[in-house]
Amino acid sequence: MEIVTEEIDKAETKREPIVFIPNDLIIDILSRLPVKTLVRFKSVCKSWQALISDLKFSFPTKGRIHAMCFTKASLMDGTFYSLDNEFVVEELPSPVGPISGDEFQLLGSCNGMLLFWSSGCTYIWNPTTRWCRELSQLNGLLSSPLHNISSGLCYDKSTDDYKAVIIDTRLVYMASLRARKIKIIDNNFPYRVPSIQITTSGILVNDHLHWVVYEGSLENWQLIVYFDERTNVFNQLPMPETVENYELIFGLGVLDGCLSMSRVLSKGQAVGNILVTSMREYGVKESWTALFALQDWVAPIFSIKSNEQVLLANTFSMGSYNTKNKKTKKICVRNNKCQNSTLANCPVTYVESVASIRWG
Amino acid sequence: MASKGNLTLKSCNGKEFIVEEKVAVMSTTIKNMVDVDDSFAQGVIPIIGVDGKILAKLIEYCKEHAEADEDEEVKSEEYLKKFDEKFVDELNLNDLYDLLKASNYLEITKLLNLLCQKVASMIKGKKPEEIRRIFNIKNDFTPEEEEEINRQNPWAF
Repeated sequence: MEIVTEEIDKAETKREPIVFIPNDLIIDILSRLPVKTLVRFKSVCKSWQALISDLKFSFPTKGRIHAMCFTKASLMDGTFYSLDNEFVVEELPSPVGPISGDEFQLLGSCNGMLLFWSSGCTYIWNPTTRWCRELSQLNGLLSSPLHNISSGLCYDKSTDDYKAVIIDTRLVYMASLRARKIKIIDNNFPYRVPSIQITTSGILVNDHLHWVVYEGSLENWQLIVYFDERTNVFNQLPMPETVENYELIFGLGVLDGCLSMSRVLSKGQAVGNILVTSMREYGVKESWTALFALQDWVAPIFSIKSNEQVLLANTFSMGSYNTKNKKTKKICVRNNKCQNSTLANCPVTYVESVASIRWG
Repeated sequence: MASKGNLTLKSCNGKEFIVEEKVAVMSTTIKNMVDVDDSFAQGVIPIIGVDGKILAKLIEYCKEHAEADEDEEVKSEEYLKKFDEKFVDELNLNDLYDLLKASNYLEITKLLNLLCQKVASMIKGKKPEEIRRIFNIKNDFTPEEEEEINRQNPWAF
């Protein structure tokens, strides 16, 4: 920057250093910056303050995706770690004080905010801006311990509201966070979320939350259902033809912006391998495309750099996979206080944003 | 068309450039003009508000990328990446802003992306007072107001 400034001083002193730049370009430029820088730029001038405060949902998120993990160690408090898009690990202070590693669950993630449960209380937290609130209306619903609960957080554009979805076996609750209301939207949920899933929180693609479920009582047929955030209805997503009975879907993720699933192969030479398939065009059955195979029981969580680097995880460990050279690397989150900490949850992705919830 | 596959672009200070149509239509604005009105394709297309120096730069960029789009083997991804890096590195601040506005007006998405990214990486991590200097922005906060904003988000500083 210094060099550039010098150039202006020497050659173009007669001209105003900067001419007027239209607001849409300023927004385009600003939305490429880390939120930390953005928040600092609020004090540049009044119009920038207004612009930045306005950017709530219009951030392009490419390159600014993170994964949140929570580690536990016996007799120790758990620790939050955030992985950035270069898989650099940063320890984050807990927004609610010490959290027991066994009394914690990440429930969902939407627009940069994480929904989590700890020791009987539910919180909504933006790790980027450090904004955090307790959702006391959910406390009675989620009493400890959380068994077989699937959950998710989504945003309904039509009502400008965040919705937390809790699936407790047959009962499905939907909490409207702005209106602070909870209701039962289904008291006979026809699916069951398998316990072997690496993540119980729904995967957000196309504004809908997705889960892998069993249908019917035989439990030999897995499919993907999504929660339509506008209608509060669950629908089935078309599955590829090649998925066979008894084939296990191990996890869902988002690769290159598309919903992806990891299946354990049960036929052919690669039995036991994980095949990663991605739905290139949302809702189109024919667009399911096989991407790559993995030998470990890990599932891709998200990808960066045009799908080249992929974050892999299961409930115990994390790694990265390079789709070009097909190499897998382990990612260690190491607690200074304790070497033997393990993940307490499968990591959940979140984007950098300045979002918070305005209470209705 | 005057010469098959070629278009004439005229800068605001009267400089004319004859370019291949595939190069010119990297600009969505020009593409729309040519698609809608055939007379543009035969005559001269005026590029309002863009001078000869900036237009030459735009054409240089579009030429490389149009050729790359046509034949991936001639110009690899890596070659283009290097070209893009060199292209933005050689710009002084004023040209950068002029190009930014011109590519916005002409809707050359790839270039606009590249330039916005360049400005973003230039200002990343800078202090508010440096930003005001770079963008020639007047600080319209009172010292008390500024302090209050900064106090709201101490972790960002």
